Amino acid sequence: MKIYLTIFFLLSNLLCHSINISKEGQSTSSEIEQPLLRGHKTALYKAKMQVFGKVFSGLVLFKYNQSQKDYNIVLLTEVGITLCEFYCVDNNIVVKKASSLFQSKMAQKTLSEDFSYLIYNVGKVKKVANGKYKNLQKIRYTLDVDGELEQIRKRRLINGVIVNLEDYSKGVPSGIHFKHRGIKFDMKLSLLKVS
Amino acid sequence: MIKKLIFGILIFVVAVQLSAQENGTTISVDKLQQIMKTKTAGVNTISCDFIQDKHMEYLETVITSKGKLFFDKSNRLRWEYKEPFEYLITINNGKFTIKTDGETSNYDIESNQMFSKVSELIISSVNGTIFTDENFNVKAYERDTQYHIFLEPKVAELKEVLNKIEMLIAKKDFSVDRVIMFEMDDNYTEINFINKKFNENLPDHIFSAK
Repeated sequence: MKIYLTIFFLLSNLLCHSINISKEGQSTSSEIEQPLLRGHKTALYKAKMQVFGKVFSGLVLFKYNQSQKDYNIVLLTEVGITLCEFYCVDNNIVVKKASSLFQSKMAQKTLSEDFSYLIYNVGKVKKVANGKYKNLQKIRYTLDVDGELEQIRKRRLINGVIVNLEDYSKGVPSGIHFKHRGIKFDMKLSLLKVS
Repeated sequence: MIKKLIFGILIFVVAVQLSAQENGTTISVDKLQQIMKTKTAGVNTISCDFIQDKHMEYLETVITSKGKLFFDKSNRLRWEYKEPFEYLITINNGKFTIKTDGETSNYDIESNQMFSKVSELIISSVNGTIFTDENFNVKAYERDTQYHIFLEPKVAELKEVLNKIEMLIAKKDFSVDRVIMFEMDDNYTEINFINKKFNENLPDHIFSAK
C-alpha cells in the first residue's frame, strides 16, 4: 500500500510539473498570423486539384467581409460557374452551396480544413526548434527567415496535410501547395490578384 | 373606391408598357431563326475579343477575365483566356480540348455526353443558334439595335447549374454581343464580345491546343 502511495505521489508531482512546464511554455509562446488576407480584402487564386487521379482546375476567391468580420470563399470554374461556396461561422468554415461535383462530405470537409489553415489566426504557439512551432492541436508551423509561414503540417493517419507557402512579396503567399496523406487529394493555388 | 381602382389599373398598364419597352417587342423564335439563317449565310469565320465578368452580388465582387475567341462555320472553336489567367478550350473535329498550366486534356465529344452538351452550349452561344436548342424554353424580343433572347433550361442537369441565359444579338450583323448566364442564386456571368471581325482567314493551327 505504501509503495502505491509513493508511486501515486511521484506521479502526481510529475503531472503537476508537466502542467507547469506547459503553462510556462504557453506564457513564453509566440503568436503567428494567418497567411491570408492580412489587411487585404480579396485574394484570387488559380487552383489546380488532383483528386483520385483526376485533374481539375478553377479559381478560388477569398474575401474578407469587414462589416461582419468573417470570410467567404468561392471555388469556381474559369468560365464562371460556381462550384462550391463556403462561409465562416464561429471559427469554422461551412459549405453554403456545392455543385454535384462537390457533394462528397469528405471533399467538403477536406477543402474546409485546408482553407481554414489559411484564413484563421494560428494563435499561440510553442517554439519547438529554431523557426519551428506547434500549437495545442499539434499543428506544426515553420517560419521562413522573414518570419512568414513557410509550412503548416498536421500529422494524422488519415488525411494528414502539409501546406507549403511561398513568396509573400505581394503580402499574401503567391504559391500554396496542399499535399494530403492518406487520401489522394492535392491542391496547388497560384496567386492571380490581391486587393 | 372607383378612383383607387382607376389608379390601380393605370399603374398596371404603365408597368406592363415599361416592361414591354425594356424587353422590346415580342418576336417569334421561328421567325428570328429564319432571319438569322439568311443574314449569317455569308459569314464563314468570326474572331473577336471577349470580356467576362463574374458577378457575385452578395460578396459585392466582380471577377474580370479577358481573352480571344475564334469560330468557323464548320463549328471549330478556340476560346482562350489570356488575363488574369491562361486557359484554353478548343473544339475541333469531335474533340474537346482543355489546356491549362501547360497540361492538355482531350475529350471525345461523341462518347462523352457532358462535353457534348458543353460543346453544343458554347457553339450555339457563339453562333447565336442557342435559341433553337430544345433544352431551353425561349422567348425573343426585338429592340432598336438588338434582339434580346431569354432562355430557361428545361433539363435537370442544366437547371442545376443555370437559372436562365440572356443573349443580345446585334441587328447590324446578327452576331452575339453579350451572353449573361444566371445561376440559381444571385451569381451571374456576363460575357461581352467586342472587336468582332468576320470572314478573316483562320489557319488550322488556331483550332489546335498546341
